[in-house]
Amino acid sequence: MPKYEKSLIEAIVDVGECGIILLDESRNIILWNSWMHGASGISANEAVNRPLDAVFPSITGRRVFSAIDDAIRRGASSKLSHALNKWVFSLYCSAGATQVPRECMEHQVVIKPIAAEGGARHCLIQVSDITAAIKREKMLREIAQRAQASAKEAEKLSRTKSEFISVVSHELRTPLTSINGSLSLVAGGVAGDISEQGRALVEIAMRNTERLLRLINDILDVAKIESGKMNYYFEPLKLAELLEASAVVNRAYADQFGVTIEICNRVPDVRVRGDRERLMQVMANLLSNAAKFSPRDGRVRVKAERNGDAVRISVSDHGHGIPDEFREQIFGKFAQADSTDTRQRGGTGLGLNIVKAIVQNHKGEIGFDSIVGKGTTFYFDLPELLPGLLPEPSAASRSEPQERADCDAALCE
Amino acid sequence: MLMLTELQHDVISETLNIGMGHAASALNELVAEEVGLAVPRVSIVTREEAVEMLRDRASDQVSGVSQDFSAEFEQSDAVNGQAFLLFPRSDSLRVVNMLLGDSVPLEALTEMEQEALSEIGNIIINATMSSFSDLLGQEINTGLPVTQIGTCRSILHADDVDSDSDYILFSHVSFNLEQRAVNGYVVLLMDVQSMSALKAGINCYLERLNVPNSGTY
Repeated sequence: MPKYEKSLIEAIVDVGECGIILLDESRNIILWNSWMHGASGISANEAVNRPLDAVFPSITGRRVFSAIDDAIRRGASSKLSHALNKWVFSLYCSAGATQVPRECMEHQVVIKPIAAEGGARHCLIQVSDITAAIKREKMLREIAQRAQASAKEAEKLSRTKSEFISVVSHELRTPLTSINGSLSLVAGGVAGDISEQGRALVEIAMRNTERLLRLINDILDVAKIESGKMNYYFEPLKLAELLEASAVVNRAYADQFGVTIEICNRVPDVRVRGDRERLMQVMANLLSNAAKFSPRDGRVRVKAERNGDAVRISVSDHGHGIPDEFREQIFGKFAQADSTDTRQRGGTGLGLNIVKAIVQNHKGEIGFDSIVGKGTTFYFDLPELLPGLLPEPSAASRSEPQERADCDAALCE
Repeated sequence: MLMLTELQHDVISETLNIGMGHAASALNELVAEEVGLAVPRVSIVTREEAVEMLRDRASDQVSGVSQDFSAEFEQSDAVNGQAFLLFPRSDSLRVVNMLLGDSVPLEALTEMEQEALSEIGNIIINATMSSFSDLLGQEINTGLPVTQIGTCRSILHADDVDSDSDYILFSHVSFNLEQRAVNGYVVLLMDVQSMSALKAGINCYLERLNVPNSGTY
C-alpha cells in the first residue's frame, strides 16, 4: 500500500459514515473526525490534544473507560452493546439539528487497539449511529405485543361466543321439552276430548317443537365441537349390528316419505372402534337426508365394503343430486342447497357439519359422489379393528354367514 | 495427546477463576444486580471431544460469542487461537434477561439483545485473556467479538479442520444472579504450538514461585 499524505488520510476519515476517535497511550485525542464534530458539537480543534475524559467527563469509571484502558494496556478489543451501555458519549442526531433540544443519538461503540510507532499502543474508537435501528426494533416489539394481545382477545371472544350459545341453547331446550310433553298429553286426550281440527293443530305444533329441539341439539353439538368439549366413548363395535340398528331406528322417519332402507353388507364380520351413540348420529343424519331427498317409493341403500385398510360405509339415494355450486359448502354450517326446498323438507343445515367432525374424530374421512338428476352417495371410511387387537374375540360373531352375494335380497324393511 | 500435570491443571483453573472475578466485577458495574461467576471444571480435550462435551452439557444448538486472540512470543512463533463463550440456545435469552433485568416478551433474541449477549462474552473473554496474559507475562491481543449461533459442530469448525491437530481448553462457567444459575461454557481453541507455549509459560510461572513441577510432561 502506498504511503499517503497525512491530510489525505484525514480526508478519508472525514468521509466515513461513523465517528472516529484516535487516542494515544495517555488517552489524549489525536484524531477527531468531522462526523464526531457533527454529532457532539465539538470541533476537532477543540478536542485534539485533550484527554477524552476531559471532553466527555461522564465516561469516567464507566465500562467504556476500562475498555479503552484494556485496549491501550493489554491489546484487547471491545464492542459496547447499546442494551448495556446507553449514551456512552453525549451525541445528538444531526437530522434534528434545527430543533431544540436536539434528539439524543442512540449509538454503539467499538474499541480497538492500534499498534503505533516505537512499540506504543493507541486506541481507535469507532461510533455508529443506531437510532433508526433502535426505533425500528421498538416498533417491531410494540407490533408483536399488540398482535399477541389481539390474538388473546380473539380467543377470549370465541370462547365467550361458544359459552353463550351453549347456555342459551340449554335454556331454550328446557321449556321446549315441557311444551312438547304438554302437547302430546293434549293430543292423547288427557285434558278431555279434542276435535279433529284441534288435533290437527296440536300435531302441527308438536312437529314444529320437535324440529326446534333438533335444531337446538344440533347447535349444542356444534358448540361442543368448536370448543373441543364433545365427549367420545370408544369401544369395539360390530359394524353389522350398528348398521342394522340404525336402519331400524330411522325406519319410521323413512316411512313418512315412503322410502325403503336396504342394507348390503359385504363385510359382515368387521369390527370398528367407535362411539356407538355418535356413529348412530352419523347414520341418522345420512339416512334422514337420503330419505328426505328420495322420490316417493324410493330406496335408500346402506352399503359396507372394504376400502384398502379401512371399511367404507356408504348411503345412497336416488334423489335429484347435489347441484355443483353447492358441493364445496356441503359440510359447512347452515348449509342448504335451496332454502325453500329445505323448509319444505325440514332440517337444520348443521347435520353434515356435525357428521364430518364425528367421522374425523374416529380417524375417518367423509366424502360424497353426486349426479344431478340421478342421486347421491355419501360415504365415510373407518379404520378396521383387527381381530388381534380385540380384547375378547368372540367365536359367535364368526359363525355369521359369509358375504352375501345378492345385496338386494337383504332388505331391512 | 498433550497432558498436563495436576499442578499445571490447577494453575489454569486458578487463572480462569481470577479472570472470572474480574469479569464479574466488570459486569456488576454494568448491571444493577450482583453477578457471580465461577469456573468449576477445566479440561483439555480434542475438538471432537469438545463438540461431544458441549452437546452433552449444553445442547446441540448453542449461541454466544467468539473472539480471535494472538500473542507474539520471543522464543517461538506467533500464537493464535479462538476463544468462545457459549450457552445452550434456550438459555441465552435467560442470561440477557437476567442481566438486563427486564422480561423480554419475545421468544427469540432480537438484534439488540444479541449485541448485549455478545458484550457479556466480550467482557468475559477479555478478562480471561488478560488473566492468562498476567500468568504468562506476555501480552495477548484480542479481536472484536463475533456473534455465534448454530450447532456445536459448526461453531467449533469440527468438520473443517483435522481435529487432531489442535487442542481445546474447555471449561464450565456458572452465572449466578439473584439465586438463579445459568451455565455457560468457555472454550479456548489453540493449536499445538499455542498449547506448548501455554505449558512452558505455566512452568516458568511455577519456577518463579519456586514450586517444583513434579510431573514429567
